[in-house]
Amino acid sequence: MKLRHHTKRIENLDYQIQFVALSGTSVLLLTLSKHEYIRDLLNDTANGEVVAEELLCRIMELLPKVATERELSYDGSIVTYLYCLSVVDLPLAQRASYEVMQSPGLFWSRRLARHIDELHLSKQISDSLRAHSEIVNETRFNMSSRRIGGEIQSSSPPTHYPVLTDKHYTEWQVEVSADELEVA
Amino acid sequence: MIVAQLKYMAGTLLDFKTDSSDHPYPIFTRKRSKIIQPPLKHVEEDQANLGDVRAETHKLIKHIDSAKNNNLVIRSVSQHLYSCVGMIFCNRRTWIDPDNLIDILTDDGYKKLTEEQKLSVGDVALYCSHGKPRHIGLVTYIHYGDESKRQGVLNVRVLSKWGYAGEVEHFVNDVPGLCGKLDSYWSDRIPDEVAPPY
Repeated sequence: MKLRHHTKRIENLDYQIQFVALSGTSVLLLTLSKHEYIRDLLNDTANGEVVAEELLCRIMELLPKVATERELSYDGSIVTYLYCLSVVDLPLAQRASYEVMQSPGLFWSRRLARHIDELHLSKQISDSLRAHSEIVNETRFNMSSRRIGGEIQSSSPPTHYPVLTDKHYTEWQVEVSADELEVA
Repeated sequence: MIVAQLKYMAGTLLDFKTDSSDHPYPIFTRKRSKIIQPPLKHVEEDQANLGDVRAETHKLIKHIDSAKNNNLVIRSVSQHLYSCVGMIFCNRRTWIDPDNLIDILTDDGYKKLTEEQKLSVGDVALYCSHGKPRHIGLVTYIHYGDESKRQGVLNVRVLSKWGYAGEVEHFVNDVPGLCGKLDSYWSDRIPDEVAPPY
């Protein structure tokens, strides 16, 4: 019900026509982040009055209309929903951006979709690096425990170092040695 | 579906690694610094997906003109993709985002005009919003009043490219809202006869 209020404001010529005159992706992002309509929509999404999945559904409903509609290109509306999705749910936005990239006739939506992909990808890379760092931590911990004799019953290896350096490793070894002394 | 998505992500990963400075057709400023362009593949994709630019331009003009009667004149509408920055600095050849506009202006020897300096046809008008450059246009006509200084200027007309829509000649303040507001005029005119080497 609440979404209908937003779609009414966002899916009309007055709102959409502005996007034609934009000159760059950063200008687009700045515009979207400052726009009153978008702030309202984001507030309602944060309050739970509009669900992120509804925005995805709306994008999917609009995409087939792009090729046939003469009066409205829907580029401005789709880019708005896509931006809101990227703020509230990045994986869902990535799914939407995949669909946008498959649809012809969109300009700014396509550019934002590309931007979201890059964001999502960099997040995935940083997540995998973090996971890798944790695995390395754990392996080093196990190896160190084995070296000590495998007797140490520590609950978990230290995970507070995002990326391990040799310095961190040395410090951590010192901690383990201290533990060992206590056990002894 | 999953395979297609994985392929798509792999493609994106390759794009992500593409350094825009490795553009096959680089453009340089007069100081020989590279003007940052979007990757060629992206520009080609955007070009292929460009809608009916003529229809969009007319809708935009009708929308703005009917509100204010601004005497907007469409100079040209092109299906070739270029931006306002591309129109002025790259001879209408390519799309350049306005992020590094101040660097381009300074590297090309443009200087910000003060209130006392005379404005001339061929100078450029810079539009900003939230302190960042958003749009640029070329001064095409100046109507002076009694004084020859800027205070005496009655009206300035500017030619600028409105996003991916057409090139429009308009009064200096009559740009779409998202292009920002007039911030300053810049000129590369050299007051002395001997120009400093770049």
